[in-house]
Amino acid sequence: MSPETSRVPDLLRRFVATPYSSVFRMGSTNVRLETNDPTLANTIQKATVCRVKSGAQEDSDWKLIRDKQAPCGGKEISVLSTGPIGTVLLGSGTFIAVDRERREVLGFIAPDISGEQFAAVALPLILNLLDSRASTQFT
Amino acid sequence: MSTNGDFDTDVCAHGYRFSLHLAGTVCEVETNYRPLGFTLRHWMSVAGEANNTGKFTMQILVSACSTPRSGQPHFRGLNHVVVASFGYANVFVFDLLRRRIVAQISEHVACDPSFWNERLLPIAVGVLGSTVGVVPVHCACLCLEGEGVLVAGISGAGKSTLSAALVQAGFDYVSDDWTYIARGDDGLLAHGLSARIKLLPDAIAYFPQLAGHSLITALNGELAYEVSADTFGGDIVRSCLPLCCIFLERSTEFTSSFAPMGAEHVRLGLQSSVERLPSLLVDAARSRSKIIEQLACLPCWTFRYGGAPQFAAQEILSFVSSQKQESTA
Repeated sequence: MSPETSRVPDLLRRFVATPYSSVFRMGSTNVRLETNDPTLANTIQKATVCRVKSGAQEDSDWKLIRDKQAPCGGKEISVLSTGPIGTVLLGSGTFIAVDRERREVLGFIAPDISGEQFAAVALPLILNLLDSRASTQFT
Repeated sequence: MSTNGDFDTDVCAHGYRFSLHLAGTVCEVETNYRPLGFTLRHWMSVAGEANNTGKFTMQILVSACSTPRSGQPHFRGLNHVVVASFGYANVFVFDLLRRRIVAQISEHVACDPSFWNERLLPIAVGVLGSTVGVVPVHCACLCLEGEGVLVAGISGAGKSTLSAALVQAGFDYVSDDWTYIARGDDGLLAHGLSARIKLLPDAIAYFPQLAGHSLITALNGELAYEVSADTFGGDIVRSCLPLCCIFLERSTEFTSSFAPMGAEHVRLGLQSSVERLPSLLVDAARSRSKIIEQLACLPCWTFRYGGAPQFAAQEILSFVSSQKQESTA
């Protein structure tokens, strides 16, 4: 077997390193964010109210990947929400899945979506999904 | 239950419900769009097909106001969630923990059998398979008198070209690129999803019948012919008992030789072709490893060859026939 065959594929880019982590508070939620994009982390933190304090009610783990290889373009914003997972889709290459039961936010963000756009457009939708109960909804 | 000739659907809260039999597993579909059942009718009932695996569900909302065709595929995954989009109007979200797919698609895609047969269903089993006891293995599978030969090798080793030549040589066709291995009543079963054989443009030198087909852009972006196995005169079968494994090694010389492979070598080779799973899916990874270990216990050989695929196919046919004779003697 050649060395080439011994490489284990990561076709979905599941294992992209996320060296930047931060913890902050959004409303009553403690968010633990991991990302490969420090700018994105800063922008999200600025968009939220305050840093973590004791007494917050719930934890939520977020992993957001700045995806340089994602396709750009498209202006469509849609939310696909049924059962425990809701998904926000922006244009052709950005998606953010929200697992309400596990309180996880997992997403890839295309190069053409700036941190500010993410905070202004996607963040409110993510928070709505995170706080909503599982239901069928397509918009 | 409402019936319309070729397919059955149950009416449920979201519209219609039916089951698909895919590579040894069952997919329970719910949709608001009844014609989708007609598109997928080929997969609905398989008399006598063993299902020793888990099930998964697929909830599909067809948006009547959107008509865009499927666009360029884009796949990403994190933890237990995988998203596959084919243009903005066609999005599939896979939840590996709950064995569930949720999708929003256009009417055009809902009514396009080639989209489902060639793209989405193989992707669905590929992504969710490990969570329901079906292991997608990067190899072709050809079948001789009911027994399967798995043909593995790195990209470019000639799996697809050789598959076409083996079909010409009298093998039945199960798959040419991805084979789905699951436990059956009598041991492992190798399943295919009737996907077309993908051949690169230079294959026309060996298969002149390709001249009647057009080159298309395949899922991986390559320009290729995608043709049904019956183009080469063979029958398509959905599953078979795997008899042996052959790992291809191309040579620039006109040569042909078989060498036995140890089980550990085979296991490592097969394990390296499957995707890493996140730690969250440890049970799926463990179950997958067990099936791969079982697969590695099959008789396996390295086949080093050069020359035309038809020559290599005849060499494999002779070799497999002699192995079958030896095992029955």
